Amino acid sequence: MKDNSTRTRSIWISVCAALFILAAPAFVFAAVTVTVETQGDGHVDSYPSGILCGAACVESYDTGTLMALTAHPNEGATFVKWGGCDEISGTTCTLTLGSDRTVVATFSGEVKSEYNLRVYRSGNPGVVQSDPFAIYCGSICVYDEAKFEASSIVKVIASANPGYAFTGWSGDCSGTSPSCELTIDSAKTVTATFGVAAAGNETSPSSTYLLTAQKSGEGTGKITSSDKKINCGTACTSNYDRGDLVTLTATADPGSTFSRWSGSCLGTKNTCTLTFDSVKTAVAEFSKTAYTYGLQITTSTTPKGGGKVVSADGKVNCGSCSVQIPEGSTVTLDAVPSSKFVIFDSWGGSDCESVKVSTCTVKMGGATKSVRANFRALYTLVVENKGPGKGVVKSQDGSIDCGTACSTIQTDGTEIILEETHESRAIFTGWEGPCISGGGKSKTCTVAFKADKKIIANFGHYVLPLTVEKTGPGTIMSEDNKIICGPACTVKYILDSTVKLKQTTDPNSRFKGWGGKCSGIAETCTVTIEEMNNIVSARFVPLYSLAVENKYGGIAKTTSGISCGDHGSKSNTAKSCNLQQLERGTNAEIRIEGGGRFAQWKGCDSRIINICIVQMNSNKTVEISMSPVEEAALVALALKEIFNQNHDVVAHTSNTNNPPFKKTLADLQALKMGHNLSEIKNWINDNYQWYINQGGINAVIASWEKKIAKQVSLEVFALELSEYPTLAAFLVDENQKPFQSALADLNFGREGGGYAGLKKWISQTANKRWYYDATGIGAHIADIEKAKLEAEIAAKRPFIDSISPANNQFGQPQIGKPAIIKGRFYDVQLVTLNGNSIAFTPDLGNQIIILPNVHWGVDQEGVNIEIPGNVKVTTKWGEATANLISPSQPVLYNANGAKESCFPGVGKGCEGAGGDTQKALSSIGTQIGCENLRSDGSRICWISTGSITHDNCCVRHPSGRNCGGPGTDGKPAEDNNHDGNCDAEWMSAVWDTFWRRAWRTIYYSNQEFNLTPSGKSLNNRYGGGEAIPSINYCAPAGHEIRETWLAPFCCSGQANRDKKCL
Amino acid sequence: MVSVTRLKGVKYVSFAIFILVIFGVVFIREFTNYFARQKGAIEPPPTGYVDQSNALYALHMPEYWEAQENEAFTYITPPQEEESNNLRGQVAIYVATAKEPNQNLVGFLQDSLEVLMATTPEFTIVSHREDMLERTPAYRIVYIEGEETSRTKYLQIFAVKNSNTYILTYAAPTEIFDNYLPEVEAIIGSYRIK
Repeated sequence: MKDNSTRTRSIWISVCAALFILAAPAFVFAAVTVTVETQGDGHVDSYPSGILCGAACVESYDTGTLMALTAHPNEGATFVKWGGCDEISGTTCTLTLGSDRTVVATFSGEVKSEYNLRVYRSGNPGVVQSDPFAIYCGSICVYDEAKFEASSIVKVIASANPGYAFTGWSGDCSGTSPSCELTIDSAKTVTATFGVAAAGNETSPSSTYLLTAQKSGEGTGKITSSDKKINCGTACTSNYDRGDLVTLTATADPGSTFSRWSGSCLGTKNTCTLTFDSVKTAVAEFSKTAYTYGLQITTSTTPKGGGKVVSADGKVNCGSCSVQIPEGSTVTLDAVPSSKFVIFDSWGGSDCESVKVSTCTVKMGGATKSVRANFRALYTLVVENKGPGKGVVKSQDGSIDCGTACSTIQTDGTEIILEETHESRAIFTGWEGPCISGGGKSKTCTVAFKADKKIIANFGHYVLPLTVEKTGPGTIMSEDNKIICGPACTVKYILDSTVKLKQTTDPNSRFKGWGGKCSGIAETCTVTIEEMNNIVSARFVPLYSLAVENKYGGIAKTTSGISCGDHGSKSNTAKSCNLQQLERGTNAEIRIEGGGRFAQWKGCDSRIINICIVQMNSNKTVEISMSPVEEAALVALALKEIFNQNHDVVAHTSNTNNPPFKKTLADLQALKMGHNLSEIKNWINDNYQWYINQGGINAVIASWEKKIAKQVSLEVFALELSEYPTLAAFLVDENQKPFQSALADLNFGREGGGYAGLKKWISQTANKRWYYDATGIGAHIADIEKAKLEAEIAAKRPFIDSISPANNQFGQPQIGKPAIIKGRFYDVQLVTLNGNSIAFTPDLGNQIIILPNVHWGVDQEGVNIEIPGNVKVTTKWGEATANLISPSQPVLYNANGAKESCFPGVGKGCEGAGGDTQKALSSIGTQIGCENLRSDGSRICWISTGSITHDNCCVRHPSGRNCGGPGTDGKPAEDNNHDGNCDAEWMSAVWDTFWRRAWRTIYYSNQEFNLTPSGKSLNNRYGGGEAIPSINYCAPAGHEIRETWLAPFCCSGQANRDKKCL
Repeated sequence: MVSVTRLKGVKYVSFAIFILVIFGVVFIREFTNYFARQKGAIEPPPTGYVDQSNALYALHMPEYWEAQENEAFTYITPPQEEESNNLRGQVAIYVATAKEPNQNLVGFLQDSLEVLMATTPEFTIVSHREDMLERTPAYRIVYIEGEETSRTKYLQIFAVKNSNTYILTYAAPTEIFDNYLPEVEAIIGSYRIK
């Protein structure tokens, strides 16, 4: 008997066992689904196996399975990323399966619609071909290749030549079975290797092989060969040599249709090419055809692609085609999408319209049928949460819960509504992406699936503004450089964050302190961003410069600390003092320490008495200077105290236009010395040589000494000067001994020096005597006397300008008037004519002497008029001589006072003696004298050698026969009252007239006929000279003259034997 | 029993004491004020004005004006706009020891004017009259100085008291001179020499 405890334990064990048994299936048999999605050009396989996606993308596994998925990019593509994995390592994704999982592998590139299959042949002779037939690699082939539709299944078949054996596959096929099926989900490569047949199985190589053509199936038809040896029907076999190439063609009879090859030929094409390396059997299968109807297939396409319709019997396999289907047969059609991003949507057309699944069965009969398969695109929506804030996006249909599930695939046209939810200290800042409604900063975004889309939900932090209120020239910057105030004074910060602010003064400014949430004047301030009152103020004040230029002298002091200038230096006490920076709004006072009562200020904003006040509202410069009057007075005083040698020097230096004053003032204003008397005097003393030389002091002193020497000389010899005023020039002549001696005595300091000493010295009798004799004063006086006498002599020495007849009533000299001598005649003692003393009357002006008895032209003093008389005037001051005939102006008036208008005319023939011309003409009966004056002022006269000689005689003897001058009875001299002169000349004139020896000449009455006797005579025809116009009148060639001695009256001066002028 | 007469007496005494207390309070206050005035104390400032005082004087100045003080000067200046650099008018109070112990107002005035006229080329007196600074005889002069483009107008009060010379100067660019004149007159009117 068991005890109770043992029994109890057994019961518990039983219960536990029962519970285990009941519960175990739940643990042992629980399965989860793994779904792999691929995007792009590649596939995924798994370990444990089960997943090979492209082809097998969904597989179930036991709960708790640890599996690895590996991504394989296809040729030309690359692996991009995994999604939905627990762990990722390169192309490997690891999952621990606890629930259904979806994994996404993303590759670059598009999924291809077909892939390449390459088949290599290796080893001994054999053939490898594909089914469907597209690849044939015979005995001499290395490889052949062809492209096949993606996901299609292709069989490769290896056939060894006789004597050889297929030894196995490698590459994408394996094993030793002669055929291998491949799913074309990527590019594939297969190698078929042939070896030597095993013993007993070898085939003897032969040079000819039998080809047998066979027909099978319910239909009929024939097989023909390209070389015509086979025409089966009847000729169904033929031998071929090794290596021959023959193409067989299967042609169905009417009512039949060729279905496929078998045997040595494969495929459904009705031709088959064989290469003979072994015995061949080609079987053509013909089917009997019934009455057929067309089945029209169409499909729709989407942006992601479309699809095709396939039938289970393989007759239908297209996107758009027409297939003949026997009457009464049924065709089961499948709508197959071309990619995983396309799904079947609906059927259209015969029989299928109401079918909702992708498989539809059509029964043919009675008419052509049309079937349309409609496909629909699948679009991907990816949602991304972005930004520093926290939040999630969910779709109302549950497909998106991002956070975790951030993508979904939906069919074309689907609309989902996304909704954001942000955390309490975050804010939603807006949607990015194509929301068809909502969007922006609204809580929802409606997305329509018309394409792949990406929506970004932006979440930000809860931020508050921090505002810096800055005044004045400076910058406040936050440590993160977000606040740069100046320009950026308000910046939002995350709640509860801290911001460190730093103040930086601008040049020429000063920081005055923080305010608001900060305080003090430290360089930095840290602010915590709170929900309220995030305001910091900072105050800067500009600094302005104050400069003082002190040209006044002394020290200019400012309340701000400038001390400008210094006492006691010899120069440069006037200063431009350094700038001082003062805060805007402050005041500075400037005053001259201990004086500056009349200083001139520039740049003060206001002044109180002599204190300058400056308001620092800008850069300020204050200039302090002495007034021009004050400066000039100071300069004048300094010069006067130094240069006081004499009045002239004082006058020179005190003249503001002179160099000493101008230079000193300029130097003072150029700040070369201080503005006080002692510094100016020191400056002058330091530059004493300049003042002496360039400043003209020496010159002034020298000039003063000269002046004194001259003045004393003039004063001592004043008595002599009164008699000989020109002596003054000698006394002050600096080249003469009197001046030089006086200057020497002045410089010697005679009798105490200066003006008084010198005067006293020279005035002493002995010294004066010495000066008179030794310095040439006496000799100079003698020279003055001599010069004076010579000057008088020179001034009174006689000379004769002219001797002319006295003027008539017209103021013109007239023949026969007394001779007048003009010239200079002081103290006349004697006048002689040709050596004979004659009576004379001098005038009071000592300029005229009248010879009352010498009538000009009349010689009553015994002068031979044929030889011009020589007049000599003897005076106390000398003698002067001149010819008697030397008129000061032409003599135009004849002896009877008439102005001559023709020549010869002095005599009676013209108007000299008056008379009636016409009467003379008529009485003589020949041409003589002149005709009346014509309107043009001309007059025609007849002249002869006799009339020329008579008229010239009358000029000298106006009282001669028929000369018209005063006759012996006082009447005009004619035949009986003349003075005896000109008688022969008159007779010559009469003679020439009588014998008609006159020639015609035209005179013009506006000509004045100078009756002045000239020393000249044409051809020397008339001794003693002729009146000046007479010389121009001569007898023309051919004119007869009285005697050959008259030939000089010819113009040529010569006459021929016939007394005719040449 | 208390007699009516006695009661009346108590009333009179009480009334008398009340009157005495009132008078006493008034007297003490007036006495205190008198002393305060004697010492140059200033009346409480009117609304909008504040006290400004130092050892030598006291005055009322507008509440928002600024006062700067150094050894010799007190400047009272109207507020300046923060970013403006315009020249402000201001009151400057200058107290100095008289040149001579017995210097009187006339001498001080003449001396000051002599310097002013000798050192100020462009100088035009607008008005002048006798005035009072608190209870001290003073002289008021208004003049303009400066070139045509930048003229400054001055109002100056000259006074001499206790061997000290007082010059209250209000100087401002001519165009803004009148803007602050009421406040300036209030400052001058409130000026008390201690």
